[in-house]
Amino acid sequence: MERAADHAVRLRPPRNQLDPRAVTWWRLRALASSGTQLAVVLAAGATFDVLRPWVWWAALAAALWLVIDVLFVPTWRLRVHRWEITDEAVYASSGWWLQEWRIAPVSRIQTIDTTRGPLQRRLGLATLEVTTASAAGAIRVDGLDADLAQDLVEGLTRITHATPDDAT
Amino acid sequence: MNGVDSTEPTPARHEAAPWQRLPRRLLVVRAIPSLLALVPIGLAFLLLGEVPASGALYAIVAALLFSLLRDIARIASTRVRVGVELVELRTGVFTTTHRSVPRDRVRTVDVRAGVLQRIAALAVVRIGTGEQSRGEDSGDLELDAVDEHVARRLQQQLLPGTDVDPSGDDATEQLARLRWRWMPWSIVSWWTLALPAILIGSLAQLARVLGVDQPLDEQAARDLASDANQFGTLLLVVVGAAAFLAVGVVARCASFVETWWSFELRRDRAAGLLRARRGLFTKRTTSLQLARIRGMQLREPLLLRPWRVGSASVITTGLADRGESAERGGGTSLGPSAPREQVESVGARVLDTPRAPTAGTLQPHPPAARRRRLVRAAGAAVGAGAATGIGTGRIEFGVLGAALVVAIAVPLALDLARSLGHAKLDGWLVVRSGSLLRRTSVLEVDGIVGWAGRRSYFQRRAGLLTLVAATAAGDGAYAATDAGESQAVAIALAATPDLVLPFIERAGQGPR
Repeated sequence: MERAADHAVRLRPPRNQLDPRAVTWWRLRALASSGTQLAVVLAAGATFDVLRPWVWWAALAAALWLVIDVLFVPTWRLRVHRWEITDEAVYASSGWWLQEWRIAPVSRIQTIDTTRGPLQRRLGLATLEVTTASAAGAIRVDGLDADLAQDLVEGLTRITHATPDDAT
Repeated sequence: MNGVDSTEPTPARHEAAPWQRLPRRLLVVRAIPSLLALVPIGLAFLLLGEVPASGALYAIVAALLFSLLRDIARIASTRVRVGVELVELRTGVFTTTHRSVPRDRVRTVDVRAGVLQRIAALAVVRIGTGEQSRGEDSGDLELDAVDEHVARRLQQQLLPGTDVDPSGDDATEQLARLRWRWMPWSIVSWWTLALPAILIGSLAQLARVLGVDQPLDEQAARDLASDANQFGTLLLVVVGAAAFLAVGVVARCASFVETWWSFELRRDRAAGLLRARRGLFTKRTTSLQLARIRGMQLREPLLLRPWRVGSASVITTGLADRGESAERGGGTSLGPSAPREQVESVGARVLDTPRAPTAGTLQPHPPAARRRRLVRAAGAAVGAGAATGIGTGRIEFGVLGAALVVAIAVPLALDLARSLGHAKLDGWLVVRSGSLLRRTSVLEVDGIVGWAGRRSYFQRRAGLLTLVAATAAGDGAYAATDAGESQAVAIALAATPDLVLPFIERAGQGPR
């Protein structure tokens, strides 16, 4: 194809940012998972003498990761995670090191769900999940304000009902 | 054993059709392979006059008996019901599983029967739905096994228009049939070398289990050595290699005949079905709805590529290609390995296009994609070199290890990069990748139910993007790996302009 024209074609990021509370949620989650990791490493070192020479290195790595995961990754995520829902499509981007955007036509949507974990409930957040007939996976928008997520589900449901298609 | 067949066909006109058992002679069919497996042990007993007492042997017998008992329990507890709306399967003794498939969701019906099953007039029916569920568990339902007639009638019932003998009538058109000159291509495969190796390995294993693996005594060894001198070591090696190859070639040919005997692909436009049948001992007939076909995939193994030979399968919703490779003739296969032009002409006819989209010219991916693969090859070489170097404590070995890996990994990396490509040709999206097995996938643009773009940190720095077309068919996702960023967006835009255009950055908006 035309090289010059090629160069101009880019996707713009989705319009909407997540609720900043999502950062808090990611931090807490990171603290829980990476903290557990560190605890396991230390516990293994305390229990098995054979591991003792290695354990400090492993613990150091785990601690370093904990700091990165809690302090940097969530803010990085907030810059990347964005979403947009139009009458025709759902468009969302996510990730930090490995970034991903997904676009799905509303006419091919099969299910629209929200999920709320205990942490999310405490923070008033919800995850919106939109699946299509593809096994490639759902579009997830991670840290939405819970009320907003509910409104989006209702809006999307209305649009999908108005757009008949066999979804495959 | 061939007494009352309780799996009589259900008219399924009224609700609450009765639950049916599986035919009882299925038990015998199931038991035979396990019992056959005991024959070598029995023979050994007769020949050696004693039970070769060994833990491994008892373990084998115990495992056989256990699997036999489990089969019996499973068969005895299985119930099938074909109702007006649902096909249901209930199985299990302690934990019961209950699967049901709505009849209007049935997209494919696959009937197959192995040798023993054919002798016993049984057949396995696999009912495919359009469902793409996550993970291993598919929406498919397998009846293993029912009476042959019941199987045929089910196929007819669930997908009307499927008749008993697919080749019987003239209303259908033949798309492909077996050509015996394709057989030699089946030999050009790693399996030709692997099969004799596996055979030798399992014989050695058997010998060990039976305790007849005594090392040669000195005299025998000396005899062998003098024999070798007499005939010439070279000759002995040549003959040995030839015998080894011959075993592989014969095995591959036999497997070709068994798999592809009477292969035929037909289209029945009136019924809207694509029908395939094949197999010598294990007969197999597949029916799938034409409306569910979303594309095709051309597979070219490295060994066959220089000869421009490959095989193809059809990408469809409702018959996932999981596990069963098209090389061995999975349910969606379009035939055995054959010259590419012939494979593509069959593909074009199946897809109803003048020319198979796989034959089109693809856009190569940017040089950065090749660099990424070379960097990985270099990484592998450094890793292997370091590992052997440290492991052996000798620098020379480390260098040698690294050199060996380079010799294999670099050509592989270059070939991988050369394979990468994508295109949008008419109504088709084409993506290609792979080296040991190069796959060219063609997807109907209307079958695309979404896009994903993945970029790791390194990909972003190299300006690359892996574009994934999501679909309900086949693997569910087909990727153009490491395409140029704007190249990938352009292709998505060209394929589904209405979907992607609103998200394209206009000039003047500036980069983010």
